[in-house]
Amino acid sequence: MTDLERPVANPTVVLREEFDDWAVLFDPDSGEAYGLDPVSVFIYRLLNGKHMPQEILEKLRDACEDGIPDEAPDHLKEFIEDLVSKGLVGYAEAA
Amino acid sequence: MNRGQELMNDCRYSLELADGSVWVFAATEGVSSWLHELARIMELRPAREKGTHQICFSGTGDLEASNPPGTIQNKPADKDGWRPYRNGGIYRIWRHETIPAVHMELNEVFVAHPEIRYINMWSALREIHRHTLRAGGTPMHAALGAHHGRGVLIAAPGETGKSTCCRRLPGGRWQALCDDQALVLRDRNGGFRAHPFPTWSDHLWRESKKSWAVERSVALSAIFFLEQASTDKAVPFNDPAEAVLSVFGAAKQVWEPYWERMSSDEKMKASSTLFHNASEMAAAVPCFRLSATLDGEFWKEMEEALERKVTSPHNADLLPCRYGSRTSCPGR
Repeated sequence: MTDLERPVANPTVVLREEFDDWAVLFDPDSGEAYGLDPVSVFIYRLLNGKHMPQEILEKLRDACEDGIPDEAPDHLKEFIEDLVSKGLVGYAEAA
Repeated sequence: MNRGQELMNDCRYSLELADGSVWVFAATEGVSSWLHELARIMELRPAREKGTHQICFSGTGDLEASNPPGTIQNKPADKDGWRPYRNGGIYRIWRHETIPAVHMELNEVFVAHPEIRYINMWSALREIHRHTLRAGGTPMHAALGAHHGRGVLIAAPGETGKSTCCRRLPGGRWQALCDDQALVLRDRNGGFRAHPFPTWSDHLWRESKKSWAVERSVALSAIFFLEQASTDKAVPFNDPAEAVLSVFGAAKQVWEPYWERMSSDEKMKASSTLFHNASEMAAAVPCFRLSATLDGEFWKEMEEALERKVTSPHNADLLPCRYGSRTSCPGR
């Protein structure tokens, strides 16, 4: 992933939101499911091919009243790369 | 129709499930002893009703024949639209798009085979699994017990200790109904009920003479996900997503062998339905992580969890919020 790539969620993947803001990602193609905590759900919603990682970080910072940790950029990168490796996310083509 | 291909009147059994469906099993003469044995294992009763669904069994020496078997051909109005699904030379299933009946042809070479006859029984029940999925339920890789009549699933992968837990449940207030697979269905009121299903490996490899009262169902009150431990404890899952993942995982253990033989489209459709049903079940039925020792009284932890559920209508004490400061969560 580069700073200029815009991640986009695989359209066949289902995000099922539970109460308490937790959610489960389900990939019907593989039959695998993954749990997402509220922060991950917030990020996942922004993986629509319109936001670069830096923009996602800024939105996350705005949403967190207590701020985000210094390691947040690394966490975001790892999270997106993990989703990509599982086929849950790809990258939008440059306009 | 060939002689001997008629369904026998004295070889018809029925099974009523918690969703109101009534399954009638019928056989031709050549495979009647096989069906009698299936009925014995599942404690099926002789059929007096027509049923809502029917599974017919017949024997054949040629699974390659292109025509449907005699019992289907005997109904001229229905003979079109039957499609065969073959499995490795052991049996062939005929399904119809609109008729709620299935015809299973058994290769007569294997009808009395000591192992394959049980594999055929197991395979025949796949039709009930398919129906259950369409009706909002699923089979679960789990033991089923009843505590004062309330149904409790103990789910775990193989070799974790489901059977051991069942054997150790104290009699009286507890009943162990099955130790490997249960069928969970929506009842007519929208709740979930569970039926015990046979442990086929007992018959396949241990020559068991056991039977299971499959028709008996219990209202599902809780699901415990078993893990071996050094202390006994039952704790609710911290978040609902974990419950969904666990229920889906226990159901998927039953379905994955089926999915391997499906087309990509069929698998996507089936897995999506299963995910939906598992999510609904996890939302409706309290889920716990059960740590159990080999010699402790783990069932007391289960009883305490069940008791807490009853005294707390909204399960508020079972689903503690792990976020003390909700304002720090993004998106709020």
